[in-house]
Amino acid sequence: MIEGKSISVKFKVNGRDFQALKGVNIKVNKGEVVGLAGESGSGKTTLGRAILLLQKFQGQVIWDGRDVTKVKGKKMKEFRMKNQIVYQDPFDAIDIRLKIFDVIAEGLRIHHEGSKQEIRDSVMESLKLVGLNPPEQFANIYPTQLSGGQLQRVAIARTLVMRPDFIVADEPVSMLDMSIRAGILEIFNELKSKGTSTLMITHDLSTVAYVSDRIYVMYLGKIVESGLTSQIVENPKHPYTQALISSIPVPEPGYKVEPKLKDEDVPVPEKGCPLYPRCPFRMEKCKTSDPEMVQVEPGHEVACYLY
Amino acid sequence: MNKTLKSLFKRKSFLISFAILIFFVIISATANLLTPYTNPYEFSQEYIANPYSPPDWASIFPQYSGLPPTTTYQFTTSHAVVQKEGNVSFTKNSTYVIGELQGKNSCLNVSYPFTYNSPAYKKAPSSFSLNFTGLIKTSSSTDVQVNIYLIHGNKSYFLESFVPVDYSFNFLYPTCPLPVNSVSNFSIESGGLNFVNSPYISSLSGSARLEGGILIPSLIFKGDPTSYNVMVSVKDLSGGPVSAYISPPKLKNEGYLYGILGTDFRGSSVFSEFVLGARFDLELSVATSLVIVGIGLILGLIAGYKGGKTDTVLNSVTDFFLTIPTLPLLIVLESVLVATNLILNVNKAFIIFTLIALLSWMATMKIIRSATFTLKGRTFVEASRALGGGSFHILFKHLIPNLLGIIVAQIAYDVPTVILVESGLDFLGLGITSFPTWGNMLGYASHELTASNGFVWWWILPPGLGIILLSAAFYFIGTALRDVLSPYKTRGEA
Repeated sequence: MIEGKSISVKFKVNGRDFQALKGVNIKVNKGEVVGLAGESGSGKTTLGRAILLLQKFQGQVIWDGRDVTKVKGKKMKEFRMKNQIVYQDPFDAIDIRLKIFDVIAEGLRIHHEGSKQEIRDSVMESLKLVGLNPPEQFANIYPTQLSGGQLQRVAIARTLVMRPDFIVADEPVSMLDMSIRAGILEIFNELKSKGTSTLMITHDLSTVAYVSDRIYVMYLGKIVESGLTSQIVENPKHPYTQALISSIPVPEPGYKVEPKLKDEDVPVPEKGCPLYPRCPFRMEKCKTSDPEMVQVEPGHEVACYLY
Repeated sequence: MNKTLKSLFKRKSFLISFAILIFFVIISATANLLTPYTNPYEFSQEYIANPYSPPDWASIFPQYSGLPPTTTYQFTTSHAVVQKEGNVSFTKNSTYVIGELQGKNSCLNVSYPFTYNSPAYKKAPSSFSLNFTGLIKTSSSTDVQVNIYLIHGNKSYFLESFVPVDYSFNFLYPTCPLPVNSVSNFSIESGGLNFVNSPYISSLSGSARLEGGILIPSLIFKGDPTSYNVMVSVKDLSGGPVSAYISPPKLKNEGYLYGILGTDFRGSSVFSEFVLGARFDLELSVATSLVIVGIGLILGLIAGYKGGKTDTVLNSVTDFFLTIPTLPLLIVLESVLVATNLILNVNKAFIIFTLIALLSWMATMKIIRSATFTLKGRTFVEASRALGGGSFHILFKHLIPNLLGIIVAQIAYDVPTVILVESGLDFLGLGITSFPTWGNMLGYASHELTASNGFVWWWILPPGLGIILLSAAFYFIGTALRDVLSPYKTRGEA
């Protein structure tokens, strides 16, 4: 239902070009929760922003079969209404000068959706939906009076009130305590059952495995592996994915994580496989050319010369 | 809002500054009630006491004790004692004693009793002034004489004699001829009496005659408080019908102590200069700083929000303006515009207002621009865009409300800047000179100080302290408002 085709993003850093995304293809179907995993700096957030047209990029975004890459005006408004984003840091993502009610009602007011009473009802309903009860009490206070978890719920409520088809959730739980993560993730599970699709960006595979149907793994601006959650978690193919999964800590005394990758801080190679300097299985071929995605089993693709 | 006010009033610096500001606002707003003068630099409003007179209350200091104070005797027609000779009838209303004279040598004498009680006159000879208005209605063939006397016991001092003909005469400044039957305004000013126009002085001996104008008080008022009469006498010399309208005189003993803040080199009231100057400075500086912040806000917002080439262009323009040395340019522009009469019929205050506004917006622009940059980078601005908000929505719903603290603070910060620049121009004599401002008070003081006997603190300190206090007050108010109105500042961010 929303699809990014060969999306490339270039940043200028200190006058030099930095290729944040290198022709990434990604697709999220209706009612699907898709995980996007990778380490920091791999371009996950940039991809999320590009697919919502919040970031200049080269490539194409297809939404409901239409090319929306260069839409403007009314069609853009429609796109904005139906596609929402939840940010990582709820403290920064909410204007603390506004009351919670106004924070959530902002989108509806921008799009002139409904009368005052209708807006009020929608806001209360979405507050209830994210578990801020009683909603009347929360609606009339300021963001500074809420905790991080509650604020993130407000940020989610702000997107839900628009009844979106697609949500980019940019590390929605990474800023939150472990104890309240499950509650937030449960909201996305509920959304899935109502047919809303989500792109869940995270650096933590255990989180994303909890809710997602499929997972994309990114490394330095490239998708290196994609597949169903079970395929990725139980049968990771790419050396980077394997490393990612084996590094998930297990709450067990004496458990040791064996580092799978060579932990070297090396510059990004100009050509060849981006993982080449750190890969334990590297070959001569990897140094010069970049592997394409190949299918290893139905729905499971990986970009590595090992397969 | 209540919470904002509460946290504002919790700050001591804000409270004190607010009190200072309120004080200046009140004296500016009530300036017309506090002082009877509209422009103390005008000739008619000068010399209300002797020049360089210290304030009344300064007599508690030894060097000013014993100076004669300035006293005014106000009369109303109800005080008038009327004598008549010949065929005369009279009536009184609130402004005039009206007499109808008929027959040769008929005479109307209107006298007002008063007690002269300035015991200190011997230490310093003080002068006095006497003003009254007379309206004589008669045919041009009738001769009328108006005489003015001071009467003490049996002795009468014949001060002056007028013959109202078809011109009004004021011995200091002859005015244009007036037609018969119109108001003639006679006044006796201190120093104005001489042996030509005063029969009394011409009766004195040679040396006393020369000093007569100045020494009249000491010649007539012999010391101990006693009662006197001032008398205006109208005499019909040729017998035609004459209507005489005589106003109560204003008698003033010009002492060496005056009012709340004394007098300057003109003998004008420093207090009224201070109050009127405060009003002008407040009005001009607040208006100018609003315009400055207006320009800075618009340019800063555009540059900060648009970024890219727009920002580069606007920023370069601002940098260009910043390189201009403001005060010298102001001096040159102001002098050229005024001296060449390039702009005719434009208020000088308006020229200054425009020039300062056009040359002072740069700092505000830079501050607003950088604050906009910071705010624009915050996630909630992008979140608003992701919700579908356009540039206008983001500017008016998120950026400007979050910049409010800085905007208000900038208005407050720019006020002292304007006060200082404007006062600087006035001080140099390039700004406003025709009516009092704090700057030109100090400017005149620096020019005329040498002529004074000692340090004229009552003239220098009020405008000087006024500039300092008002500037500091605005600075602290600005800081307090910035802190209270910027939500992210209070949380220790941005």
